[in-house]
Amino acid sequence: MNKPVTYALVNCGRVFEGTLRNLLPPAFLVKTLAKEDVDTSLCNGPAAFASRQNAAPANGSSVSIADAKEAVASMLADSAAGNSVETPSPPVTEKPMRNDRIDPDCILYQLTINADNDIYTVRKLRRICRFRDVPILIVTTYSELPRARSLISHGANEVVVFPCNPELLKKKVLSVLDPVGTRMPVITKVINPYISATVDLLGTMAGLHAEKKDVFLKKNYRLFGDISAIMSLTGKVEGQVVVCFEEKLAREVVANIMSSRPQDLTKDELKEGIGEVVNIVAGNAKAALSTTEYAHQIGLPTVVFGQGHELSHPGNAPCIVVIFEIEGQPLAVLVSMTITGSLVNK
Amino acid sequence: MTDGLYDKVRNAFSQAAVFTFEKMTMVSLVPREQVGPDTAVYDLSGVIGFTGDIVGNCALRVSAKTAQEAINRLAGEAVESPSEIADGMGELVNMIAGNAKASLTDFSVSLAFPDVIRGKGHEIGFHRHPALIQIYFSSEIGDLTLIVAFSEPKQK
Repeated sequence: MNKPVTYALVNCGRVFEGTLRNLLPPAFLVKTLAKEDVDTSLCNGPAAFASRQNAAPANGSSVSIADAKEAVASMLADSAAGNSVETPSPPVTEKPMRNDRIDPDCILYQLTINADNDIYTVRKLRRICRFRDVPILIVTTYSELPRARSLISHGANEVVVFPCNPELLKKKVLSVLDPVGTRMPVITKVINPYISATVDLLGTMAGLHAEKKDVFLKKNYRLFGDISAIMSLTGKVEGQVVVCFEEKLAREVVANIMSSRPQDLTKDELKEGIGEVVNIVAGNAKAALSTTEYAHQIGLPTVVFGQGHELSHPGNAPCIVVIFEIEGQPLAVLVSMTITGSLVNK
Repeated sequence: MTDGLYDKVRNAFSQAAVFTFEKMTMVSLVPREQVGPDTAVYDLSGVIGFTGDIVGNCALRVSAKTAQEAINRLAGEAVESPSEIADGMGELVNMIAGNAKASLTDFSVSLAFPDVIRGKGHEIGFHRHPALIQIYFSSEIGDLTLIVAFSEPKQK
């Protein structure tokens, strides 16, 4: 049932496509699509992704990164055994059916000559991923490198200069799929209080049914959203909890909590409301964890505004993201936590 | 709010910022007066939370150009990767908060991880913080703003 790793090539030239196909083992799928088809053929409805919760830590057992790596390795082995060699892609004029959407593990996008268009496309790609951790790599030539780099602040993860040494390319496209924070086991039981706190809060205070869609380890420390709230944790564990919204959902949630209408909320109310959301989520989880070895204190919330901003945090802590869905709109809760003193400081 | 706490925290963070930048990046920061509302556009912010006898957040906010310049000097070479610049910002705010913590000898404060926010013209809101300190600096590499928002915990 494990899916092979899929690379989606958006707007990439034939040469790059061929090179990549030759480099990757057959277990990797390479699919191409034109820039215009991104809306219709990329990324799955949320339902398609829900079936892929292979790493969901729902049973409270402890999964270490090593396990996750093993899982990936066995997944690769499985798919290598199966016959998953991809036939050459169909011509782009044949638009895939709706239920036939590509569900990529990594997106590669080749720059066009229009800078504004590129920014728009990268942002769109990032949004389509719905907080999911799909790395976006920019394929560029050496002369366009500065412009490609500037796209990193709009949602791209890495820049690949092409043509280049094939080994380097292979290393780059494979390394973006590794999860971060390998120095410390992920204690998955700490995530459950956060999941239940979020569902409870939204259910009781906002009257919204939040459905858990996905749990995964982040591959990098970056998260993109419109409004997010950060709460820092110190004590026996250190780390942070981030709740990340898109603007429409944030307004809806806060309006429901304050019994107001979404369009009537002022910016200050929104700020306060979202701060309160993370405060309650972190507070409830803190209470639930206070009797365990993960007892901690919480700080005060910080709220960040900005269309498509990016959050990143250094450190070697593993980073767990839970994605919820409320009436089709995504919401991400990120927990990055490590036991105090266990972190080898750089 | 205890008497003199505001000034004490303000001085600690202000001196820590000046000290850190002087030592790590060879940039001398000069506190400046901000007249009227702050209309500067910030591209990068490093935020670090702390708990203990005082609870709150400290944020260092800069423009992309200033961040680039500061991190170049911190690293001693031209840093190009955006993730390295973000890491550097986190490290800077961590050092500022660490130095401030060291000079606030009357309190026990524990620091969390730094968080870096990137986004053209993003805003940061500190909600439920009774005390908000904004310190503006100018320097040869551009303007910087340090925001410290904190409160005393209820118990105690």
